Amino acid sequence: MNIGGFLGDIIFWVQVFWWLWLILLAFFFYQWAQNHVGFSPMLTIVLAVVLIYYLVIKHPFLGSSTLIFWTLLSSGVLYLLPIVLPWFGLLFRRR
Amino acid sequence: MLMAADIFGIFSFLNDVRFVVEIIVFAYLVFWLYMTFRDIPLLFALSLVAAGYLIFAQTISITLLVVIFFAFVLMGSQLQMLIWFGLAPIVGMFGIKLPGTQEYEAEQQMQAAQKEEEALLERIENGTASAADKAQYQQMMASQQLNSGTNPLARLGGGLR
Repeated sequence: MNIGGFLGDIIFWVQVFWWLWLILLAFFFYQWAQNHVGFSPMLTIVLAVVLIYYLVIKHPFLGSSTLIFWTLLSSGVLYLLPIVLPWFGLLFRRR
Repeated sequence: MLMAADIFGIFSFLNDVRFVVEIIVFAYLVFWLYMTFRDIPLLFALSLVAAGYLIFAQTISITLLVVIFFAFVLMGSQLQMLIWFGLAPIVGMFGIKLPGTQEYEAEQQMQAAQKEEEALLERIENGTASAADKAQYQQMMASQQLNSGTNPLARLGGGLR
Protein backbone atom coordinates (compact mmCIF):
# COMPACT_ATOMS: atom_id res chain seq x y z
CA MET A 1 0.00 0.00 0.00
CA ASN A 2 1.66 3.17 -1.18
CA ILE A 3 0.69 6.07 1.08
CA GLY A 4 1.54 9.13 -0.91
CA GLY A 5 1.46 12.78 -0.08
CA PHE A 6 2.33 14.54 3.11
CA LEU A 7 1.26 11.62 5.33
CA GLY A 8 3.50 9.31 3.34
CA ASP A 9 6.45 11.65 3.92
CA ILE A 10 5.76 11.75 7.64
CA ILE A 11 5.55 7.97 7.84
CA PHE A 12 8.80 7.70 5.86
CA TRP A 13 10.70 9.89 8.31
CA VAL A 14 9.10 8.12 11.28
CA GLN A 15 10.39 4.82 9.88
CA VAL A 16 13.85 6.30 9.36
CA PHE A 17 13.87 7.59 12.95
CA TRP A 18 12.62 4.23 14.26
CA TRP A 19 15.45 2.36 12.52
CA LEU A 20 18.01 4.86 13.82
CA TRP A 21 16.55 4.45 17.32
CA LEU A 22 16.86 0.65 17.04
CA ILE A 23 20.51 0.99 15.95
CA LEU A 24 21.13 3.25 18.95
CA LEU A 25 19.49 0.65 21.23
CA ALA A 26 21.67 -2.10 19.80
CA PHE A 27 24.80 -0.01 20.28
CA PHE A 28 23.77 0.77 23.87
CA PHE A 29 23.35 -2.90 24.75
CA TYR A 30 26.60 -3.85 22.98
CA GLN A 31 28.43 -1.17 24.97
CA TRP A 32 26.82 -2.40 28.20
CA ALA A 33 28.01 -5.92 27.46
CA GLN A 34 31.49 -4.62 26.66
CA ASN A 35 31.66 -2.65 29.91
CA HIS A 36 30.65 -5.65 32.00
CA VAL A 37 32.21 -8.68 30.35
CA GLY A 38 34.86 -6.92 28.25
CA PHE A 39 37.59 -9.23 29.53
CA SER A 40 36.30 -11.92 27.16
CA PRO A 41 35.52 -10.81 23.56
CA MET A 42 33.50 -13.95 22.85
CA LEU A 43 31.39 -13.52 25.97
CA THR A 44 30.84 -9.89 25.00
CA ILE A 45 29.48 -10.86 21.62
CA VAL A 46 27.32 -13.67 23.04
CA LEU A 47 25.85 -11.38 25.70
CA ALA A 48 25.34 -8.57 23.17
CA VAL A 49 23.58 -10.91 20.76
CA VAL A 50 21.25 -12.21 23.48
CA LEU A 51 20.44 -8.71 24.73
CA ILE A 52 19.92 -7.31 21.24
CA TYR A 53 17.72 -10.24 20.21
CA TYR A 54 15.42 -9.94 23.21
CA LEU A 55 15.47 -6.17 23.78
CA VAL A 56 15.77 -4.78 20.25
CA ILE A 57 14.33 -7.34 17.84
CA LYS A 58 11.71 -9.18 19.89
CA HIS A 59 10.61 -6.50 22.41
CA PRO A 60 11.85 -3.11 21.16
CA PHE A 61 9.54 -1.14 23.46
CA LEU A 62 10.89 -2.98 26.50
CA GLY A 63 14.42 -2.21 25.31
CA SER A 64 13.54 1.44 24.70
CA SER A 65 12.05 1.83 28.19
CA THR A 66 15.17 0.13 29.62
CA LEU A 67 17.42 2.65 27.88
CA ILE A 68 15.30 5.65 28.89
CA PHE A 69 14.90 4.48 32.51
CA TRP A 70 18.61 3.63 32.85
CA THR A 71 19.67 6.96 31.32
CA LEU A 72 17.33 8.88 33.63
CA LEU A 73 18.70 7.14 36.70
CA SER A 74 22.39 7.07 35.89
CA SER A 75 23.00 10.23 33.87
CA GLY A 76 22.27 12.69 36.69
CA VAL A 77 19.48 14.47 34.84
CA LEU A 78 17.20 13.95 37.84
CA TYR A 79 19.35 16.52 39.67
CA LEU A 80 17.88 19.10 37.29
CA LEU A 81 14.35 18.49 38.62
CA PRO A 82 14.56 20.83 41.65
CA ILE A 83 15.87 23.49 39.26
CA VAL A 84 13.29 23.05 36.48
CA LEU A 85 10.09 22.21 38.36
CA PRO A 86 9.87 25.50 40.33
CA TRP A 87 9.77 27.33 36.99
CA PHE A 88 6.62 25.39 36.14
CA GLY A 89 5.19 26.30 39.50
CA LEU A 90 6.00 29.94 38.85
CA LEU A 91 4.82 30.18 35.26
CA PHE A 92 1.66 28.05 35.53
CA ARG A 93 0.55 29.09 38.96
CA ARG A 94 -3.17 28.99 39.72
CA ARG A 95 -4.35 32.38 40.86
CA MET B 1 -3.88 -24.64 29.93
CA LEU B 2 -1.42 -21.84 30.70
CA MET B 3 -0.54 -21.71 27.02
CA ALA B 4 -4.21 -21.42 26.19
CA ALA B 5 -4.55 -18.62 28.75
CA ASP B 6 -1.74 -16.70 27.06
CA ILE B 7 -4.13 -14.88 24.74
CA PHE B 8 -2.48 -11.50 24.87
CA GLY B 9 1.00 -12.98 25.05
CA ILE B 10 1.56 -11.64 28.54
CA PHE B 11 2.99 -14.88 29.92
CA SER B 12 5.50 -15.30 27.11
CA PHE B 13 6.42 -11.62 27.42
CA LEU B 14 7.00 -12.00 31.17
CA ASN B 15 8.98 -15.16 30.45
CA ASP B 16 11.24 -13.16 28.14
CA VAL B 17 11.57 -10.39 30.71
CA ARG B 18 12.52 -12.97 33.32
CA PHE B 19 15.18 -14.42 31.02
CA VAL B 20 16.62 -10.99 30.20
CA VAL B 21 16.81 -10.09 33.90
CA GLU B 22 18.55 -13.43 34.56
CA ILE B 23 21.09 -12.64 31.84
CA ILE B 24 21.73 -9.13 33.20
CA VAL B 25 22.15 -10.40 36.79
CA PHE B 26 24.47 -13.15 35.54
CA ALA B 27 26.54 -10.59 33.61
CA TYR B 28 26.99 -8.46 36.74
CA LEU B 29 27.99 -11.57 38.72
CA VAL B 30 30.43 -12.69 35.99
CA PHE B 31 32.12 -9.29 36.09
CA TRP B 32 32.42 -9.38 39.88
CA LEU B 33 33.67 -12.98 39.87
CA TYR B 34 36.24 -12.09 37.21
CA MET B 35 37.54 -9.15 39.25
CA THR B 36 37.66 -11.34 42.37
CA PHE B 37 39.23 -14.48 40.86
CA ARG B 38 41.31 -12.84 38.15
CA ASP B 39 44.46 -14.68 39.21
CA ILE B 40 42.79 -18.04 39.99
CA PRO B 41 41.08 -19.31 36.82
CA LEU B 42 39.95 -22.56 38.46
CA LEU B 43 37.98 -20.74 41.15
CA PHE B 44 36.59 -18.38 38.53
CA ALA B 45 35.31 -21.33 36.50
CA LEU B 46 33.83 -23.13 39.51
CA SER B 47 32.12 -20.00 40.80
CA LEU B 48 30.81 -19.28 37.30
CA VAL B 49 29.19 -22.71 37.16
CA ALA B 50 27.72 -22.29 40.65
CA ALA B 51 26.41 -18.82 39.85
CA GLY B 52 24.94 -20.00 36.56
CA TYR B 53 23.20 -22.92 38.22
CA LEU B 54 21.75 -20.76 40.99
CA ILE B 55 20.54 -18.03 38.66
CA PHE B 56 19.17 -20.10 35.78
CA ALA B 57 18.05 -23.31 37.49
CA GLN B 58 16.99 -22.03 40.90
CA THR B 59 15.65 -18.64 39.88
CA ILE B 60 12.65 -18.54 42.20
CA SER B 61 14.55 -19.66 45.31
CA ILE B 62 17.34 -17.18 44.71
CA THR B 63 14.89 -14.36 44.03
CA LEU B 64 13.00 -15.10 47.25
CA LEU B 65 16.25 -15.28 49.23
CA VAL B 66 17.48 -11.99 47.79
CA VAL B 67 14.15 -10.26 48.46
CA ILE B 68 14.13 -11.56 52.06
CA PHE B 69 17.76 -10.49 52.49
CA PHE B 70 17.04 -7.00 51.14
CA ALA B 71 13.82 -6.57 53.11
CA PHE B 72 14.90 -7.90 56.49
CA VAL B 73 18.68 -7.50 56.60
CA LEU B 74 19.49 -4.43 54.53
CA MET B 75 16.26 -2.54 55.13
CA GLY B 76 15.20 -4.11 58.44
CA SER B 77 15.25 -0.87 60.39
CA GLN B 78 13.25 0.93 57.69
CA LEU B 79 10.72 -1.92 57.75
CA GLN B 80 10.49 -1.60 61.52
CA MET B 81 9.85 2.15 61.23
CA LEU B 82 7.21 1.48 58.61
CA ILE B 83 5.38 -0.97 60.86
CA TRP B 84 5.64 1.00 64.09
CA PHE B 85 4.90 4.47 62.74
CA GLY B 86 2.91 3.61 59.63
CA LEU B 87 0.96 0.38 60.06
CA ALA B 88 0.35 0.49 63.83
CA PRO B 89 -1.50 3.86 63.83
CA ILE B 90 -3.61 2.90 60.81
CA VAL B 91 -4.51 -0.48 62.30
CA GLY B 92 -5.06 1.21 65.68
CA MET B 93 -7.92 3.15 64.11
CA PHE B 94 -9.77 -0.15 63.80
CA GLY B 95 -9.06 -1.08 67.39
CA ILE B 96 -6.30 -3.61 66.66
CA LYS B 97 -3.09 -3.19 68.66
CA LEU B 98 0.12 -4.62 67.21
CA PRO B 99 2.38 -6.55 69.63
CA GLY B 100 5.51 -4.61 70.52
CA THR B 101 3.85 -1.20 70.48
CA GLN B 102 3.27 0.93 73.57
CA GLU B 103 -0.51 0.64 73.32
CA TYR B 104 -0.26 -3.16 73.21
CA GLU B 105 2.03 -3.23 76.27
CA ALA B 106 -0.30 -0.87 78.19
CA GLU B 107 -3.29 -3.03 77.30
CA GLN B 108 -1.46 -6.18 78.41
CA GLN B 109 -0.54 -4.53 81.71
CA MET B 110 -4.13 -3.38 82.25
CA GLN B 111 -5.46 -6.87 81.53
CA ALA B 112 -2.91 -8.40 83.92
CA ALA B 113 -3.87 -5.90 86.64
CA GLN B 114 -7.56 -6.65 86.06
CA LYS B 115 -6.95 -10.40 86.32
CA GLU B 116 -5.02 -9.86 89.56
CA GLU B 117 -7.88 -7.77 90.92
CA GLU B 118 -10.45 -10.42 90.03
CA ALA B 119 -8.32 -13.18 91.61
CA LEU B 120 -7.95 -11.05 94.74
CA LEU B 121 -11.71 -10.43 94.93
CA GLU B 122 -12.32 -14.17 94.48
CA ARG B 123 -9.92 -14.99 97.31
CA ILE B 124 -11.63 -12.38 99.52
CA GLU B 125 -15.08 -13.83 98.75
CA ASN B 126 -13.90 -17.41 99.29
CA GLY B 127 -12.30 -16.39 102.55
CA THR B 128 -8.91 -17.75 101.52
CA ALA B 129 -7.29 -14.33 101.51
CA SER B 130 -4.07 -13.75 103.42
CA ALA B 131 -3.30 -10.66 105.52
CA ALA B 132 -1.39 -9.07 102.63
CA ASP B 133 -4.37 -9.74 100.34
CA LYS B 134 -6.75 -8.04 102.79
CA ALA B 135 -4.47 -5.03 103.09
CA GLN B 136 -4.25 -4.77 99.32
CA TYR B 137 -8.06 -5.05 99.08
CA GLN B 138 -8.49 -2.22 101.57
CA GLN B 139 -6.06 -0.06 99.61
CA MET B 140 -7.98 -0.86 96.41
CA MET B 141 -11.31 0.13 97.98
CA ALA B 142 -9.80 3.37 99.31
CA SER B 143 -8.37 4.38 95.93
CA GLN B 144 -11.70 3.53 94.24
CA GLN B 145 -13.57 5.72 96.70
CA LEU B 146 -11.08 8.50 96.09
CA ASN B 147 -11.46 8.18 92.33
CA SER B 148 -15.25 8.05 92.37
CA GLY B 149 -15.56 10.91 94.87
CA THR B 150 -17.08 14.31 94.08
CA ASN B 151 -13.71 16.02 94.32
CA PRO B 152 -12.66 16.63 90.71
CA LEU B 153 -8.99 16.84 91.69
CA ALA B 154 -9.16 13.37 93.26
CA ARG B 155 -8.18 11.65 90.05
CA LEU B 156 -5.10 13.77 89.50
CA GLY B 157 -1.83 12.26 90.73
CA GLY B 158 -3.55 9.38 92.50
CA GLY B 159 -5.69 11.59 94.75
CA LEU B 160 -4.95 14.26 97.29
CA ARG B 161 -2.86 13.15 100.18
